[in-house]
Amino acid sequence: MRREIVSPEGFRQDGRRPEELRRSHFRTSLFQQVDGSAYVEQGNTQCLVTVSGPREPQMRSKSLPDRAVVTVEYAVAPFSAGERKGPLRTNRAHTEVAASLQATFEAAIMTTLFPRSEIMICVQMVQLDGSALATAINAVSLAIIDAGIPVTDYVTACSAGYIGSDPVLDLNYLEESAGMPQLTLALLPRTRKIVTMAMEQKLHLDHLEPTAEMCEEGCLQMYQQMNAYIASASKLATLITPSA
Amino acid sequence: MVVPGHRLGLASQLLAGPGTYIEHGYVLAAVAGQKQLAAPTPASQGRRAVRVQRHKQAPPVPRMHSVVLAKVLRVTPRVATVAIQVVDGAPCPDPGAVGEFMGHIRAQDVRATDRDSVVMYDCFAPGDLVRCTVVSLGDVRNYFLSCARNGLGVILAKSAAAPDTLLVPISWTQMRCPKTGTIELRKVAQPSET
Repeated sequence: MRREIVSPEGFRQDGRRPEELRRSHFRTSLFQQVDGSAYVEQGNTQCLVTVSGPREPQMRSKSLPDRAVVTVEYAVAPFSAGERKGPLRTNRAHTEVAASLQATFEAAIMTTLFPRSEIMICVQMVQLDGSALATAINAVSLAIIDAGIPVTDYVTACSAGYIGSDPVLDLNYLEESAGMPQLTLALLPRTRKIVTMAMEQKLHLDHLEPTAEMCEEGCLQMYQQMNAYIASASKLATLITPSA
Repeated sequence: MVVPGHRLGLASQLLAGPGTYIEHGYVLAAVAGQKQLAAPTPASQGRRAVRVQRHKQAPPVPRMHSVVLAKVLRVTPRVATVAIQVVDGAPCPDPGAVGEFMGHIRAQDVRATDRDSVVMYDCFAPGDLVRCTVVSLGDVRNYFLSCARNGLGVILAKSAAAPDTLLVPISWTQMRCPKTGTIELRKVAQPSET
């Protein structure tokens, strides 16, 4: 059975308009053992990220003399999707996501401040409901800010698909599995510099621009929400531990 | 309160300090936290130094000349291996989770005088708590620590003769067990100095 993605009335199956993001929820500083952590929900996609470092690299051979290396571990919980999958499977798709997360954050983190050290990012997807990469990027961004690692800017990400003649923002699992082309865009919102642009399927060039524009709009909305969260979380922190 | 990417001012009027960076002539924040402005100094040519202070306290890291408290793990004729527990009064995070800072007290760094004839076994025993300073960031694994000052050395040691009994210092080289009266040799820290 294939249902239409956007109804004639202009609503999607979950009741959103095409240009609407899902509800998102953030939390930071969840763990004591690591330097920074964040939990992000975008709709039913849930992601948990921990950041440790800058620290001595675990593999000494991987350290660089002029900057810090960013290592990313990406794992998907066996219970995260509809069908249970065994945990011990090295998945090529996961390695690819890890590599793109690494490239994204090497562009944003001021790695030259920490030569010969390592910044370790562990991403655990708790529940998958579409736009996993975008959610992971947003969560890592918050975790890095929580860890106090200097970054030039936030990195915010958002996905969009293209169906019929219009783009739709922030795809959920149902929309993703309909097989429409999906674009994931990560940018530095202040300068609107694009750091990651990922698309697996084919899309006509004429449609790329409106899709990317919608993604960008979504990223900026995401930025507002994350910014508001960090501001409120830090205010709370000042109340608990007044800075000297 | 500022967040990464927040514009703090013109680079021509401010001196970018920790937690900030300069881009296109502006000073911007690189971490989330409180903006702090310092008064201009003659050296800064009227510019005010700006820094961003995080709310969360960063875990302590030993630096040169830090005073650390460390636990002795191993003693060999040349060196005592210790695990650093406290740096400048700030406790290190739970060592089980993140791995601890290790240190070496080399025989030549135990005392200021007569440093060629140090007998390590007469200065430290495993389990002692030692106050030292960091003399070098050391090699790959260890910080190099020194006890070559009156106030530095063993501050807490357990008796070998009686279990769970703390030794009492009687001179800068000796400690006595209050239960059995046995005298054990240590490089003792002078109590008055902190």
